[in-house]
Amino acid sequence: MGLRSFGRLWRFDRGLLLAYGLVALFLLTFVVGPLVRVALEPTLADWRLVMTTPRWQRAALNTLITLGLSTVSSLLLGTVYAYAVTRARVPGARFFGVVPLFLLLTPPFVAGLAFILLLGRRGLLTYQLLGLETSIYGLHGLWLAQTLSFFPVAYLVLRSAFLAVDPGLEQAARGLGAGRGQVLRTVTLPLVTPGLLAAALFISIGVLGDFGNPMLVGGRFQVLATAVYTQLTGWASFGTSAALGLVLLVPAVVLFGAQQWVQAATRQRFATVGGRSSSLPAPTVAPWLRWALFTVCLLVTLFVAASQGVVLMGALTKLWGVDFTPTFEHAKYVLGHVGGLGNSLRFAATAALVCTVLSLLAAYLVQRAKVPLRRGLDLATLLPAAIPGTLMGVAFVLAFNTPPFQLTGTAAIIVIGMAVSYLPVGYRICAAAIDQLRPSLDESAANLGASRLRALTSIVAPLVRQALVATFVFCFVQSVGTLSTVIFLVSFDTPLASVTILNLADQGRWGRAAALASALIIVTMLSLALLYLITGRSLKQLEFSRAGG
Amino acid sequence: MHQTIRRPSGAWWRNRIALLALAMSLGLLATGRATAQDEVRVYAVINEDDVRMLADMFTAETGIKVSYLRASTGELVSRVIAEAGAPQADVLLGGPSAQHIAIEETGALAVYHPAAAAALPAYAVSPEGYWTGFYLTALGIGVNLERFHQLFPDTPLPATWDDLLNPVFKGEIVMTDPVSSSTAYLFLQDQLQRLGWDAGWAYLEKLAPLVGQFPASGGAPPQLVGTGEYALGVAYVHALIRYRHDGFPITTIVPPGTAGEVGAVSIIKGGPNPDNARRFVDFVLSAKAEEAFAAQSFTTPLNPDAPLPEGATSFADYDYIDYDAELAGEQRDEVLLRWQQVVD
Repeated sequence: MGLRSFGRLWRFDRGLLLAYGLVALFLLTFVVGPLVRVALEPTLADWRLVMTTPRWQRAALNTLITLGLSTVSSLLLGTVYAYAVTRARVPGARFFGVVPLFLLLTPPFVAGLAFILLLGRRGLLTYQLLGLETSIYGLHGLWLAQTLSFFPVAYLVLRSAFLAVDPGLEQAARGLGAGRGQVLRTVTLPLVTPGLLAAALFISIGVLGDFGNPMLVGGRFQVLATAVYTQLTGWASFGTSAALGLVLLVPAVVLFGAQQWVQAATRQRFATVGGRSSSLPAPTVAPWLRWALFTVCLLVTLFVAASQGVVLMGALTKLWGVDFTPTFEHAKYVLGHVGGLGNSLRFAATAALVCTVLSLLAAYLVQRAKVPLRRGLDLATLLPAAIPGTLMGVAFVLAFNTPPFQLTGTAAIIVIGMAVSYLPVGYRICAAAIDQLRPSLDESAANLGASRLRALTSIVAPLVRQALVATFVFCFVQSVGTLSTVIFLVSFDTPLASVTILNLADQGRWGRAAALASALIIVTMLSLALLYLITGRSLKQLEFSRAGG
Repeated sequence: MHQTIRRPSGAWWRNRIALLALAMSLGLLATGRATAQDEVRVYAVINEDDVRMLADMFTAETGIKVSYLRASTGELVSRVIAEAGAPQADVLLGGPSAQHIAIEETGALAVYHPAAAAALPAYAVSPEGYWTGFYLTALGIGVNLERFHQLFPDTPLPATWDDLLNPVFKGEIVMTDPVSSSTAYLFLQDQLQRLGWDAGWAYLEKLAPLVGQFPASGGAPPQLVGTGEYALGVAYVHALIRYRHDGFPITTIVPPGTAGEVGAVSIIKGGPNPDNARRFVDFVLSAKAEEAFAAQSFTTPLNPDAPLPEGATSFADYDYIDYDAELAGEQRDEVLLRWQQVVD
């Protein structure tokens, strides 16, 4: 069966076979390879220790608790927010649409410090403004922090999904007498089910591997991802940390299987992007709902503004939270460390390009091309999300420290680490978008003699361009601020702004950390604005030529 | 609309060129591993300002360039061990001697007997030549005076380790997780060695429920106490002093029977610049370097010829237990395992 499939591919579509080979090689080398390396670390004693220690049994239970709570709340907020800015078109939708990117942009430790300064026991909002003596440390604080951390993921995925929904179907339902609520429940939401499933899967797996939030606001509520980090960085207990990390793979694979099952059961009912796209506008939403959604967006935006404001305040005052005397000394420090900023942007852009190309190829191969072992391909793109970044980073060092793949200390290992970290999301964004395409589109192209690769580049890619842009933006923004994976990969010649920020915060140099974080956010937003100008113009040209054709 | 399909088309070429450009881009990225010139590469646990100062002094004196990468102790220990097959760095600078001992056990350190080691006390030198101490610090209790007096107006400041067991302090103490921090492990061993094994564990089991949280990062307790999130924290004295110097409302208490810690420097086996590594170590151990470092880091120099900074109290003047670092190393696995059983 396998050999016959490969033979058929070779005869009819060498380009597709080449793409398949490249994707498979990349995944085997940079996803499966390091994972195998991790799997070989634990001894039997390590496994026995992990399975019998009460602390880690509780950490496993805590992980499942946060998995459920944070996934639901992030998905809910992300879906509501995406609906608000795409279908409901609340006032200021264009502006609100950009806000979640700021949350993705802020490096974890600075976001954590801002969170504490705003909502901590001495927080500006809690203690100073409201006079509350509340503690955010524990499950409740972690839940809130994770919701704010992961809802942008849901937002990006659902935004693409909502934009891909054909308004004609909604209008048809309205025309047949369905009320607004009924249209939402029976037409719109079912149509974005692939997006919901993809977002739910990635959020839950991201929560599994999240260590920044639990570390800063978890208090004594410990989860497995922080246990991996403490074992790894405490006394370099590779075996124990690897075993703990591998335990996290179990729920990841289970979640993947569940998502596959649900998606397979519902796939045929939802393919909607057909031969003729509708130019009808989306149905309007009820005024009360529109303003309720506006309120949600406004509250999220106010919190983001407060967070950014606190970071900026830290950058421009003498001692963050203690001495508010204005100063520019922290800004001067940043001017002496622009090398790291440049690296962060350049590496993140390269990683985003790699991630986008890989995501598109992998998603097309799995969803449309029916290549051999496509379920394995699907699973391999997902696994990086389940392993805590710190463990994956160390796995990279162990796997690529000696020939034939000697990459330690190079920029390439950082770029690949970033691309691998965010491949799970990028792939899911592309897969969800392709899943909404009617299969007849690229089958028609194939019948007319075009190769599968040609069908991909000429027909499928343009149709899912929103997803491609979302993938690139997501990977770029996340990579600029990423910390856990790259913390062991940066070297003497390849500093990164995000790691420098962590270092500064760890040394109590909060002013400098805040200044560098502010600079990182500003420069990244400028880069995105530039990207938007370029792609916006290209998309307009594309639309024009299509209309003319 | 009716276009003849022919290969290779423009799209085909554009795709190939794009792939080629991508491959070239990755290839260029892979040239990051530069050939070293006259250089020494340092993994630094000490703060960035401190290592930059030492690096500048060393370069001015020798002409040898210093590249440094600053990170936390645990991260650098993991990195040195993971990179053992092809080390990127020459020197591990700073951090407690216990961590250097832990790395030594994996065979990742080189042997070197610097001349300056002869004048150091026995506890500050590896007999086999794997590490050498260059500064001294101690464990202490940091108190946020504002929060403490607001919450405990009628309670005196804790003066001894046993004072921390006051039930009224429940939820207001922050201490790093001993599993991930040599600072906190030193605290565990301090109690076990000053009280004896059984009484020591009784102390720890009584203290653990009172602690508000055990963060993973050694830098966290001074931060959380400094910002008033917690009233009390266990940390290195020099870190607490620096936070007070920066302007945080922290006072530092050094209880009798505290444990001292030697900060050490070691050479990584197989590093790219072994000769320069030895020269750098000699420099770090010199009176001039130790004096400058102590003045900026609030530690105490170990070189007897290095003067104490003006106004500073020597850590040597504190009331120490007779700390057995070898015993602490031997017991580490057993102690941390039991700690993880005791503390949820």
